[in-house]
Amino acid sequence: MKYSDISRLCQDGLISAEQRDRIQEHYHLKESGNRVVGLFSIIGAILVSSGFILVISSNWDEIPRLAKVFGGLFLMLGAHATGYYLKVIRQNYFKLSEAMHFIGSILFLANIALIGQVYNLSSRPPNGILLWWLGIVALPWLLRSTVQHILSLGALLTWLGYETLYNDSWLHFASDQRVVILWAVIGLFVYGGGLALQRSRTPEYACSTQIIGLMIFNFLSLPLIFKWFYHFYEWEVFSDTRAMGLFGGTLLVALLLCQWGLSGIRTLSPSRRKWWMYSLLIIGLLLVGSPWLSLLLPVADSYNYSNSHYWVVMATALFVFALMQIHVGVELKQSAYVNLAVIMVAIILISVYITLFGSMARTGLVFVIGGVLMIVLGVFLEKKRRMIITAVKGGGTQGDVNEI
Amino acid sequence: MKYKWLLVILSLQTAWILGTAIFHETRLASGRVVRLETVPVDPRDFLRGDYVVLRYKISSIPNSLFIDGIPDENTKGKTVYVLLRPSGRYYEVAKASMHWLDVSKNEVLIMGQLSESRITYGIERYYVPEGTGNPTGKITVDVSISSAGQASIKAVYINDRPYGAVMSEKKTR
Repeated sequence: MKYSDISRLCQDGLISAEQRDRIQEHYHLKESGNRVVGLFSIIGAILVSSGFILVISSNWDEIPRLAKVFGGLFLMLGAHATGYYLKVIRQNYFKLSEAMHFIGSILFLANIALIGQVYNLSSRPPNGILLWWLGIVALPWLLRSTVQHILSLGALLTWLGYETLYNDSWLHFASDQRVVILWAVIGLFVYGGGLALQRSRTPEYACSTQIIGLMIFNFLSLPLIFKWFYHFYEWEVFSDTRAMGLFGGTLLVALLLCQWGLSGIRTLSPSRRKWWMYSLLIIGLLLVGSPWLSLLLPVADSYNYSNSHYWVVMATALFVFALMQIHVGVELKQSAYVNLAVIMVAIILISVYITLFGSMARTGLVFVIGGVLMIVLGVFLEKKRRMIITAVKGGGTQGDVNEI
Repeated sequence: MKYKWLLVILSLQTAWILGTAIFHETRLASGRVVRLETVPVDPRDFLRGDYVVLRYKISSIPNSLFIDGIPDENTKGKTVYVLLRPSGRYYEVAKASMHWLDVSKNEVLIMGQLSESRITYGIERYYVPEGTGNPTGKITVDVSISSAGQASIKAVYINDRPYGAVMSEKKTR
């Protein structure tokens, strides 16, 4: 059964458009053979939109205000109308239709910016992004488009990112460390959302959400393995009820989402599910509790916390977490889990090496040894990664994975 | 069925775009237009991207003009009502208050927000074409003020000539 066969049935009037969509989703049928068409369509649509923006910007004073507004509006509605025409009326060029709706969603943001500029509005920029997200958040569910879902998720994360950077925001923290911890927890929240989506009516969005969430969680946890992270750590974080409420609350919701989502994934063995959940819980607690837990470790003196050895705890915990992630990735047959984990392992090993041996860099020998070790490590990790990816794709055994 | 919802979403998006445009067009058309003087700002802050930062003479109000108490830390972010009166070619502050003020025939009331060291009226940014954000000369602004006290920029002038015309001349030279 091919994607095109189902589309043909719909074209011949044997099934409705809704039934076509449901069958194609249920059997995970993908449109094939027109990636180039899709790519060219996206590039073409971007060129048309950029051209429109350039025409407006270079003739800003000559074009009347309302002409600018209506020009932007018609372009946006035109993009969506073309997408609708191709998918519902022509019942053809589905990729092109998806591209047109994608451009339409981006043009909504362009229109918000245009309105702001035409009327010289001085409102908070994050509000514009929030408005954009609210305007497009329902589209992935209406259009059944993964690209729209990723765009919508990107809009949400951009808004949150903007809020963390904006001075008068409820999400703004003067300390960089707090921002890092907050974003790591947001990553876990997104990952939990991805796991929960697996149990929803739209499991096709689960994978991309999980990968985006896991990527944020992995990479934003990494700064805690560096010694310098603790140099200017603001220890009074626990007296800041806003920070504690936000970090703790987000972590709790994220973990509940993970637990609920994981309990519905049958491709993971019960023991693996349990240990993966424990791993997420431990890393989450180590992140949120870092200002307090790092005080428990020996420090140079009460005024200088730069020698806190918490980075050792984090490096060890994240290393074990990355290994667990590889196992989970293999069982779920998700190569992105494995690739991310291998990158994590490499960064942790290199960072620990530099931290431990960096002080010995008075002679050239340490660089020679370091260089050789890194080359060997690189080859070793790449070999292991390929072996695991083969296992993920079904060409290897769990034993290969256990070797790592 | 779901395409009906798509139509609803697109209608909402369109409604926001058109609604905002109509709201501001109405304000520009029906508001009372007053000309305000700007004061020089630090050139490093003058242009951020493709807009000009405008700071007005009426942005800083002496404490003596506040009729019901001087603003302090607790009033930061609160609404302030400023009564403008013509003084020569421009409008200047007659008095200010944290409460609504009655307006006589030749006066106009503008609503602002107290910030750190000055008052902002939502007319502090003027978007300009790329590369024309480095004006030199006296900048004055025509501001349209609605009966509710909300302000919108109607036109900006450099030495009494329209901003766009001056800057395009400067660009072609």
